[in-house]
Amino acid sequence: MTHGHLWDRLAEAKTRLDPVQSKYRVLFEDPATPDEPAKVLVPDPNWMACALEGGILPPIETYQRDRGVPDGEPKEHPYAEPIGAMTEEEAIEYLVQKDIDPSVWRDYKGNRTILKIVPVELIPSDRSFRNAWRIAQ
Amino acid sequence: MSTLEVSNLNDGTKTVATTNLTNGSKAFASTNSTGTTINESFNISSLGDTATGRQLLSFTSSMSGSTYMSNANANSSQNDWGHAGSVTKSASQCDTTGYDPSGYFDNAMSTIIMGDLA
Repeated sequence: MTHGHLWDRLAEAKTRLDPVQSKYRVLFEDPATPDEPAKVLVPDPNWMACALEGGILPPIETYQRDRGVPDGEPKEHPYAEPIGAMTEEEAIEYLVQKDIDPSVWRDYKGNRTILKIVPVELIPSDRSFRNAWRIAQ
Repeated sequence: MSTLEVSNLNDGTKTVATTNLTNGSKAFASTNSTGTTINESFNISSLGDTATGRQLLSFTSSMSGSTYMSNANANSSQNDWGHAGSVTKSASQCDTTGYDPSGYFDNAMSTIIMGDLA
């Protein structure tokens, strides 16, 4: 096994890659908790640098399979062979599938728009009514 | 300087991955008050701004379970009643909050995760 553990690759990458601030944010609502406000997903700059570099992050399918693995059991993604470089747009799609529940991006059958990938400029800076945020329909 | 590249250590009976010997944090993040910027981080894939005073950290390399140690600090300069904590933890995510007696409030957060990796 030449690629080692994911955590070790992240540690090595942090020493040589400059963080990359994404120009995108992911705005989403959770259909399981309709009373909660819309949520905003912010890509981590170090993670984005790894995604753009390639050879560090595992295939997204390994994270999805690991969702069903009980705590304490061996997981697949830390030891999976890393994938190649992604574009920033591909990285955002990867992140949606990794960090947002499938009930939002895969299983939702309703007619509301509950997920949008938006430029960072479209996220309101006024947080006076943060707990009332909804995705405009 | 010489560098040893070792994945596992074996004492003759047990093999331990060097990954699990690191006593430092397995993940950390320093975020701004609105949960919209990650200032410093390691092993974090994203920050979720989920509501006022609530920030959700997702790990790139998951922890082995949900019983790891999480230490969240609210970098409060507003008052003496600012607190921070972890509400919900899973192997892949840690939900942190800033709060005072009146409820959740937005605050810059510093979070350290320690424990065993998956």
